[in-house]
Amino acid sequence: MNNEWLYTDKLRLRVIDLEYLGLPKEAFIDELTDLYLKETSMPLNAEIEVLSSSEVKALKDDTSGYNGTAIHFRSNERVSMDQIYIISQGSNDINDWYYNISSLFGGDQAYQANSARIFTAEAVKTFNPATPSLIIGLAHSLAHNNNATAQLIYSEFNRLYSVNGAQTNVYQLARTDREFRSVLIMTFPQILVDPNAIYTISPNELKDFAEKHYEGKSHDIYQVISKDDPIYALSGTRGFFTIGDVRLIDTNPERSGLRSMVDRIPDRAVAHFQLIAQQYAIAFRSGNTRQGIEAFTGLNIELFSDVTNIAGFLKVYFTSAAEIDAMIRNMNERLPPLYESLKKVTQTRELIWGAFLENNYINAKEKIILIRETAEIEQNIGKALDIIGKMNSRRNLSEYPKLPAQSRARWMPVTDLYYGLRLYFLTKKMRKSFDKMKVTLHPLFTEFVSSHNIPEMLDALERQ
Amino acid sequence: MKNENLPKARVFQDPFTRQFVQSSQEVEQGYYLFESGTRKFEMMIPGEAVMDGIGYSLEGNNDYESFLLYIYHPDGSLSHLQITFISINDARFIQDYLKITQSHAGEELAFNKTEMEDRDLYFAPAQPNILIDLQRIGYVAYLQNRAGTGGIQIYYDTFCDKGNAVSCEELKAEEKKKIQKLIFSIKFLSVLEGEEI
Repeated sequence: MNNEWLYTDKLRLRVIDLEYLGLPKEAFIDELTDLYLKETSMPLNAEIEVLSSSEVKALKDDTSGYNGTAIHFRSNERVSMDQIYIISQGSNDINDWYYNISSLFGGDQAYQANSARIFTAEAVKTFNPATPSLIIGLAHSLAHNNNATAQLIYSEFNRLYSVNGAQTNVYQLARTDREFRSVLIMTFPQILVDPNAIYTISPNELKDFAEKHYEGKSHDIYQVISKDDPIYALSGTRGFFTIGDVRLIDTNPERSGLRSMVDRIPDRAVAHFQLIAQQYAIAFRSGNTRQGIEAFTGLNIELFSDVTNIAGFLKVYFTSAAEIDAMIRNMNERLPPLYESLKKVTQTRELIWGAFLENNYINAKEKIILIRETAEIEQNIGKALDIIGKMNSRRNLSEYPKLPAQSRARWMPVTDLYYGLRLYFLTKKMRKSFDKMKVTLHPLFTEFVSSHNIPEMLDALERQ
Repeated sequence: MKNENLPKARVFQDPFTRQFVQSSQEVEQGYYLFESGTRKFEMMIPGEAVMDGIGYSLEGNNDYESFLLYIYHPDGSLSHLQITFISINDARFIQDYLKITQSHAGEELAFNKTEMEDRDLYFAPAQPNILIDLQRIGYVAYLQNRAGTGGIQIYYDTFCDKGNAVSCEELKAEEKKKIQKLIFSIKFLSVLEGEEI
């Protein structure tokens, strides 16, 4: 007999997948019993209790996005089979790239980790097992980062199983694990005096250091990872390190090489993204995307939210002069540095889309389209910035003729409107380019998302 | 604030840290008013301090914030202050929060409770630690708002050179005063703004 209730990868994956359905308790237990029988050909001979994180009072107003379900298996025959599984969803929404990228690179997962810990404590209190239960964590995606981090800092679980997990991160642990920070300082004394020093240390050195430091706490962590998972592709970039026993599975045999493609991105480019993510954290600190975009780029989206055609644009232009003045000034100040960052990405277009072709993600024709549209976007943003610069200097009153009769009125020449219209058309052109890229890449993104999700992994395990 | 008129203190010289400082006027000598990115609490911070900007984290509807502040003392020693604010923390579940706070400290702590008008402070000295040629002394605290929700985990570690004339041991009492001064200056803002509790 096995020592754990969910004793195969397939069983665990099916339970994680079932948890995502968010079924009512009774239905969840029925389905669980059903799938257990189907998968093992044995009846589930245990008493089952379930607790959802949404029932926990201490998490009532939780905004961390943490979602979890705890299952208590109780056996009257074997005390050692009294087990609690904590299933953590983290974010299931792989489509939300802003969230994923910012939480992976810029922000951290500590908020969800905090909620996960409160949930686990609550589950143990609620189930009140007669003997201390084995506590096993199951996770998919970003939730693996929570579980594994908790495991490394305070050995929260007896065992962890994860599928397609976001890996643990050195920078995150250097901030949240006080002991780890101290040993880092011993080896890299520059960290002591300069908050930026850690980001300039070779990521590989840091990674090796972290893996060694946490070696003793990494046993009893088991991971199954799809080679085609985009999160796996990112796990080779700066800061991430992989712990535990890892089984890599080729879930989409038609494709290969996403990770090796990402691994070829030079570290300095990733470091650059890290900096951009830092600016994001502040720009979006109001929690309002529109305000965030304005803080970040100067663009006032509110102003143009109803514009669908040129007549709408003209109306805004003539009725909101003061707001437009402010917007032009802000954009002229904030956009150029952003454009410089963006160019670092767009100028590698031949390389990036070439790699996509080489690895059969796209065909030769699609490569041409993608390179052309990337160049087009870069060029049009450049033109737009140029125009914004000109409009801004026109707004600079000292260089600007005032109408003698009315000292407060400004000479609003036809050229200003002409520039405004050119901006309007440039924006339309850029939208077209983005649309073309989106259409070209859409099937590929759908595939990436599938490779991150559980059914494709289950299929691959079936085939083995 | 206009750049050219800024004080020389480090909090103003670092553009990231500067965003959180409310005014170039000192609250008291050497200290400035720091407003959290969540806008849900404020506190005093020393002027000679810089944030780890890349590591700064603000999540979920401004309900969570975490950052590391480097504090440079005049005697050449240096402290790392890590602050984590969680907006939903409710005094009823204090035991859970103390456990979580302790677990990040990496050692057993004996928290000493101080009740204040609208908040409770749990404060504990950490074990001194020797890191090759450095010594570390530290304090760990958790501050719970009672006039509403909100809790703050605080880790304060001071590092001193073993070769220094002033040993860490001698600094201990003074460091305790320094961190307590910062903690006592923390104000939860939700109630002041008349928001729902």
